[in-house]
Amino acid sequence: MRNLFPALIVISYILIVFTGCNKADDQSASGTGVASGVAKIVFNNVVGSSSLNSTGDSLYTNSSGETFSVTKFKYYVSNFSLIKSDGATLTLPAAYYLIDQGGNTGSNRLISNIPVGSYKGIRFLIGVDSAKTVQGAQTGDLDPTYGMVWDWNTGYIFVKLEGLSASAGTVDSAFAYHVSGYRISNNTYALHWVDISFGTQPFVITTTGTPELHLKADLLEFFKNPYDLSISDNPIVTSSGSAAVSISNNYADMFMFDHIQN
Amino acid sequence: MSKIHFLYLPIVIVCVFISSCEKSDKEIKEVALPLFYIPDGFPNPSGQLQNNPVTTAGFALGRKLFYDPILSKDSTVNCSTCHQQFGSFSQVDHSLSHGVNNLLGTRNSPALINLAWHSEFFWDGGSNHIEVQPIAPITNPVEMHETLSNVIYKLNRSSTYPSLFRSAYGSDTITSQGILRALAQFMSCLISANSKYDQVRNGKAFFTATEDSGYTIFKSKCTSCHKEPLLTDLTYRNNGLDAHFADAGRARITTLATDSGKFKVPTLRNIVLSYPYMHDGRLNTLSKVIDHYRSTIVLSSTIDPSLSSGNMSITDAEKAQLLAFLSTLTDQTFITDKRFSAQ
Ligand code: HEC
Ligand code: HEC
Repeated sequence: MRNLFPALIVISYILIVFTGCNKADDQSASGTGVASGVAKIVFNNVVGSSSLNSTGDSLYTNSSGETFSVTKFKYYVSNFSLIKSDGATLTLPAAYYLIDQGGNTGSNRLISNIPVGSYKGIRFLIGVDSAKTVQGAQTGDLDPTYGMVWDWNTGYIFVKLEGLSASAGTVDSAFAYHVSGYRISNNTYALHWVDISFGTQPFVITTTGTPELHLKADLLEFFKNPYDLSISDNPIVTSSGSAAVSISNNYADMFMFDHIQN
Repeated sequence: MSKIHFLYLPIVIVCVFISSCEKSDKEIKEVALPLFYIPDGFPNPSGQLQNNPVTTAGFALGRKLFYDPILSKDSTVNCSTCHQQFGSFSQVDHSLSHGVNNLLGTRNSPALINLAWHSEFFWDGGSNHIEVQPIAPITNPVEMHETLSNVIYKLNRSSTYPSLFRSAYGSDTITSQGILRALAQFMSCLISANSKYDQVRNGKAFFTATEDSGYTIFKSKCTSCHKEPLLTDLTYRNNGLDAHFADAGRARITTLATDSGKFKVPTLRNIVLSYPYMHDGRLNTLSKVIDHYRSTIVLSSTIDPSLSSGNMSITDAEKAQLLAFLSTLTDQTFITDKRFSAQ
């Protein structure tokens, strides 16, 4: 390990620089001399067709027929790229957003220095990549004071869902899902890339406006497809391993295109 | 002259400069070494100081935090409660560490030595960086049981910390990163490389005949895991303590059955001082440790291949020689270095 470490740093660096660059004609957003603009990305949490109330006051039903309320729903999204209308990938500068609707860090972010142009899709990672995870104490959205880190088994909690359900069978009817897992070599890997197409509506970056991209995250997907997560069978998942990986496979497709405001 | 990795050259230069400004002559002699350096014959460090170069102010802040119970919920516990300098920064004579409310942890506090060469921490290696490692004891209910946000709040209200943060980082703003990096700097400078064993390696001393025989046995039976000169190869192995594992060890992190009962090979530096021994502190003397290797190795599916043939053959005379050798690993300079003590 010790001797590998310098190599790992180099590899990590390469990974950071090239994450999301599986398309040959990748370009970086930080190019100089290119006219650029600002855009806003907004995440809206929903439960099926209604918007999510995460103050614990609304009751929802999951695919196992269990009724539950939600007190916390937070997640990290990172490593964004935009897909140009010609299909090329534009990697945005490394960014890690803790989306916490109604909480400290909120549900939207401004992204600046995006080259002007028309984009047809977006790609990002749910969670925090392994390269970043091994880099020590962080600031901003990755500040450990947000309670989205594990200390005994280092890692950012990619997605945290907590709430109450009579099905939980725990003392206070609480359920908690803290999903993480960045170690590629282990059977705990829970990172997922998301590719979202904007369909026929182009997302147009100009030097003047602040277009908004609205995405939604459907909490019902957390509980199903491919794994039926039953609160009564599994009320608490707060470590990495197969249950966490299964849940991550579920939420991998919870993000959807909502609308664009050019 | 110490071998100095190019990355650390600026730090070393700064440290040399600073240590040469120490006041008394006596101190100059004692503090001849920079805070952070690579001892002769040591491999390159892990690289985790890369974004956090050691400075005198950062080190001093880290030391103050290390010894300050302000990091614990009821202000009764500091890092040195379980990591005492005279015990080579382990918790001497406690098999399972005690924290606030006298709650018993489930593992023995390891000695904190040459951590800048480690890239994973804890017996199971679950913590992946020396900067984030302290979050665990600070927030663990059986250790300090505090939150990082509350620590920041308390430090902000103190009369001394804001200016110490300014000296270390150029700003009064107290951040979790500032706290964690300062602790990482202090701990990275806990370098032990002046035991008799080191002096012999560097041609400055000689082993007695008994110690030398012990060293020969050590090299044939122990260094495959307790690799020189760190006296750990930093891997996870099962040295045959159990067949059924009350503590899954490395498997707790990897969830792989093949890692059950494997623990990070501990360094043997200052081993005489850091009793009791093993991840759960089950053995209280080195004599019992040698007896383990010669008579109680338990075979299991994850036993280290090098121990798969069971007990080592070590005679009583060889045992005495091994123990004599292990005593040469004690570094008095390290445990009495005032720079590492509460100020
Ligand atoms: C209540 C006792 C206790 C307190 C207080 C405590 N520790 Fe520890 N420390 C331990 C135990 C026990 C372990 C081993 C834990 C494990 O392996 O799971 C440990 C492990 C460590 C390690 C890992 C060493 C290695 O070789 O992997 C470091 C570094 C460390 N502690 C630093 C600190 C710092 C810094 C503080 C103060 C912020 C602190 N400790 C407070 C008991 C304590
Ligand atoms: C197969 C690898 C391996 C070999 C060979 C080995 N050890 Fe160990 N040793 C370990 C591991 C792993 C631990 C920690 C085990 C645990 O706590 O569960 C350990 C623990 C120890 C400890 C306790 C350290 C502490 O801080 O608690 C001592 C002392 C020790 N070994 C001495 C020796 C001696 C002396 C030899 C040779 C006779 C030897 N070891 C051979 C792997 C090995």
